[in-house]
Amino acid sequence: MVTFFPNGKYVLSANEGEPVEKYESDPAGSVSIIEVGYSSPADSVCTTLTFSESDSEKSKDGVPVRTHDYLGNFETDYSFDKDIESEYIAVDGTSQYAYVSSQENHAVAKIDIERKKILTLKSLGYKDYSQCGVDFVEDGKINIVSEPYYGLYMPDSLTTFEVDGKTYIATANEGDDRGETSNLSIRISEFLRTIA
Amino acid sequence: MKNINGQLTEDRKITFDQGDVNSVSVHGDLVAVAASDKTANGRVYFINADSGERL
Repeated sequence: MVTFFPNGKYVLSANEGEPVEKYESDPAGSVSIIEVGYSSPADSVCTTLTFSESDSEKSKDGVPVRTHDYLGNFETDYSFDKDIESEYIAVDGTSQYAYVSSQENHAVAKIDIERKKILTLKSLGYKDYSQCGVDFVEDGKINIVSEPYYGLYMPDSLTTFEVDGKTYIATANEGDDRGETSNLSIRISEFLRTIA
Repeated sequence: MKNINGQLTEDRKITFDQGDVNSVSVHGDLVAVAASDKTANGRVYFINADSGERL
C-alpha cells in the first residue's frame, strides 16, 4: 500500500513482503518513507525501516506479536523482520505519526515520520467472543451468539480520527491468515476431529 | 516487473503493461504507484497525472 503524506512531502509505502508458497521467498516486511523530489521524482530519497523484535510490544492482555515461533517447518531461515507483513498506512491528524497495520501479526506499528523511526509494533490482543456476538457457522443462515472463544484482531485497512485532542485508530479486521503457506491455521471442525 | 510502462487511457485511468500493481496515491499532478512481484524487488513509480509519463 502506498500513500502520499497530507502535505505531499513524503510518500509512505507499506511493504508487505508476503512469502510465496512454501516460503521459497519471504522478503522482510517493512515501511518506506520516500522524500519526494518534485523537480526530479526519480531522485527521491527513500528510507526503509525494518522491524526487529525489540520494536514489538505485548497487548494489554499479554498477547505478543506473533511471528516465526508459530510457523512450523516451512521456513528454515526465518527471522522476525521476514514475518512482519505490513499492510496499510494511516497518518494521524498532526501529520507527525503514521500507523501501519500488520495483519498476520495482528499488530499495529507507530512510526515517527520526521525521525524516520519505528516507535513500537504493538499486538492488538485477543477478542473475547463471550462478550460480543458472532455467527460461527458457515451455513447461509444468520445465528449470532456469544460463545467462550477468543479471536485475534488481524487488521488490514485502518484510519485515524481525533476526539477531544486524542488520536484514535479504527481498523478493519479482515482476519486474512497465512492460509496454505503455513500450518498456522486450522478450521475448528478439523481441529475438533483431531482431538476427538 | 521488467517492463512497467504507465499509460494514461482515454478515460484518464492509468494502466500498466506488466507487473503486480497493488496501490496508488495522488498528490496534485503526481501519482505514486506501488508494484511488486513477491520478491524483495518492490518499487514505487511516479507518474505525471496529466501526461501519463513515468517520471
